[in-house]
Amino acid sequence: MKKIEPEAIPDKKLALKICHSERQRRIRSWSRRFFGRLHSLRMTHFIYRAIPRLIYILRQLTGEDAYERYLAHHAEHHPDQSPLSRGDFFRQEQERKWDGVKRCC
Amino acid sequence: MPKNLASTVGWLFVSILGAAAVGGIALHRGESINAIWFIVAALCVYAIAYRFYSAWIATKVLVLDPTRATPAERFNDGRDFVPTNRWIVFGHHFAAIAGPGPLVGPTLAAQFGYLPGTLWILVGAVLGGCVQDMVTLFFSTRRNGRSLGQMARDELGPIGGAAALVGTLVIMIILIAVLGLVVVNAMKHSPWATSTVFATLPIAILIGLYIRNIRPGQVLEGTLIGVALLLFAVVAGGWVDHSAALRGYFDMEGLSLAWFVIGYGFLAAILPVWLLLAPRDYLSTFMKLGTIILLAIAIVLLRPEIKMPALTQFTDGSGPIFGGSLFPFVFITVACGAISGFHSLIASGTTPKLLANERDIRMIGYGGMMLESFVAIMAMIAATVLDPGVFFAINSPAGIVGKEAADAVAKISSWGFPVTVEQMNELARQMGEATLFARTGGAPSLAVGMASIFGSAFGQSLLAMWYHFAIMFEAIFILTTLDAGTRVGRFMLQDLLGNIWQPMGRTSWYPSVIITSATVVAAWGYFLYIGVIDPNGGVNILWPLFGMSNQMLAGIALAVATGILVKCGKLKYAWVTGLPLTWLVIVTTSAAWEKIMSTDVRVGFFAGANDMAAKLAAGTLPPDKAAVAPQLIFNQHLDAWLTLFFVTVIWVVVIDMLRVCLRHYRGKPVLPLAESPHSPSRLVEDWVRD
Repeated sequence: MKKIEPEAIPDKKLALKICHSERQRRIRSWSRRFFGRLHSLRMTHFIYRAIPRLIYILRQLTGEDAYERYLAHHAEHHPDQSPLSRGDFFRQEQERKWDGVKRCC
Repeated sequence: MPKNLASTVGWLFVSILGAAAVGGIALHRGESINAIWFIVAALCVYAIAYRFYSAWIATKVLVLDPTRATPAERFNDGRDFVPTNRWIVFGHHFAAIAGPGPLVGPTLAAQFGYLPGTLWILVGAVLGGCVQDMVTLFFSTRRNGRSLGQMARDELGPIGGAAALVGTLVIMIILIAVLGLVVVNAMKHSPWATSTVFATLPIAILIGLYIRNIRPGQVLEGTLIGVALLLFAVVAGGWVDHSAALRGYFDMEGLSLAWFVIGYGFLAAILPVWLLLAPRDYLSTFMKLGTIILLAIAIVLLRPEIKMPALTQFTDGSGPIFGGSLFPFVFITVACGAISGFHSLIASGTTPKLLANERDIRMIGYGGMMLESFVAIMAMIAATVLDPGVFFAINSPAGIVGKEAADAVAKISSWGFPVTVEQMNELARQMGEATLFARTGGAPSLAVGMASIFGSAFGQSLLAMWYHFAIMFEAIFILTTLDAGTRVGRFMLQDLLGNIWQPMGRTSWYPSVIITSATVVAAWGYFLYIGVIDPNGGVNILWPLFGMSNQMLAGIALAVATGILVKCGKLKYAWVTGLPLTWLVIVTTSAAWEKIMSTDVRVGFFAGANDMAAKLAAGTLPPDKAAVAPQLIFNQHLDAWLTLFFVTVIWVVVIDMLRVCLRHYRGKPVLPLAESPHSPSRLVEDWVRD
């Protein structure tokens, strides 16, 4: 089936609706193939929504989102200065993080 | 049914179930008991303690104030102080406090049978360890995230502060030495384990370069690649073990491994953190959390039978793994998992800087320690599912049961724990090891226990793989504690020396870095070296020393907390921390008394030293023992003085605290409370919870 480009449809509400059903159809077919008789749309959608959430939690837990947090803080409190680059920020961050008791017995 | 009644009935049910499970464990005297009872008992005890005791502490004793701005909110700098979702803080806090301690301690304490260790883990955690973590976290949060040492100085005075600082440095050195010894004993003459653990080094460096240069800051991605490489290293270790050419390179004596560990510790302390320390820490945190979850699932799925009796005859102090009777040594051996002073260093200083709301203290402080205690219960299960004969054959040092397999088996069977040479050889073959006799330190027996649980739950054919996975899992975060600890020790020493000669305090001045790192490494390296050459395995001496130092630190934290409670005018609640403190003082003091004064050569340090000196003079020692005897005698004397030092420190802090309390009670002036003033929180209730 041809993929529908949402920009091609003038009616924005309709475009959203079509995209949504398109996505649902893809998820359903994937789930049927993967789970076979155990397939249930509700469960599949639950998994589908849980994955980005899980990645978000993992990113927070590992401190991977530290740079985004820093940028947000910087934009709010020091809008006149330019923020550090991603690489510089992580270099400084690692030095700071390891100058105290961080691990236990 | 009204909601109140439903909740009353529900909690009544949990209480009855918990009481039944604990009673069942305590009174059961049959052949074996199912591990699920341990899980049920633990979960019920934790649920009741969390629901009632921690809630009471939070509302009545500490009076948590959700409207008060936390340091993270007031000093929010987007880096160090950041208000964070409480589940994320819980994850950080747990990853920081959970180390190899709760895995090794219960394994060693299992020589008394499963009951004493299990009861102490449960009771000690809910009344002592969790309370300590929670109150320290609270008081540090109210003091802008100050460290334990600073709080001791602010609230009690310079004596308390100095004791906390020196105590922390000494405990760090003992801790690193004993953990290093555990790793060395796990790798000794095992090409598979040695090559796997060695492979973790280049993997960590590779991930360090990846996170820094190839894809800056992509921690998750880098760590996942690293974990995959680690699993591959376990498999590749098997190939090394099977290849006649390669195995010779990795088949090492304990002493050469000890030198490797010492060299590694020095390198890790002076190399930049991004190269080795930080990536290794990411990897070990992932492995740690993953393996703990996997173990919990496997235990629930499998529900193994506990084969160890509730109590063994070794409660009288004649145990082969370490000498000493049930009281006080079970309370010293199981330190982490029940009450661990080290946690107060994390709960003050590190975690308070992330708290978005004071309300979260209950879950993070009390709940985090509960989870750690649960890990200790799982370690106890993994140690006691083994046949007692096998358990003692793995953990008893050659100096006690004899070097030859036949002697060891005869000795252990004579204790009433039947085991055969064939059984041990078959087990060693299944685990892919040359021998499992006298593999002291707790790590190999825990790995055998975990491998048999994982093997039964997820496939028997991979036993050797599971065993070496478990060894790698223990080794990787022991080494993380080792290098992080060496680094912290270096900073503390630099800080101390900086007071004497200013340039020594500069953390980036290379001569100072090298001198202080070498000093710290030499200090723990010495204890590690002695432990390795000791024919009795070394763990039997070092572990009690570590336990005592850890309880000493817990005593300092509880004394500071009690002092603050009294100064706040909450004298009637001071027993909340005073009770565990009293218990710790009793335990530490009587353990120290035994260690110094006992005439039993396996318990008393002086008795042991005198006995060895007498044998050396009489010439009755075999030549290999006679060669190391002078060093061992010196070491026993040193250990005795260290023990005396620990017990003096805890008494000094307690007396200092009592002095402050008494002055306050009589209305005389004391140091003012260092609590930062109240400022209202401006964070909308749920913004961080998105």
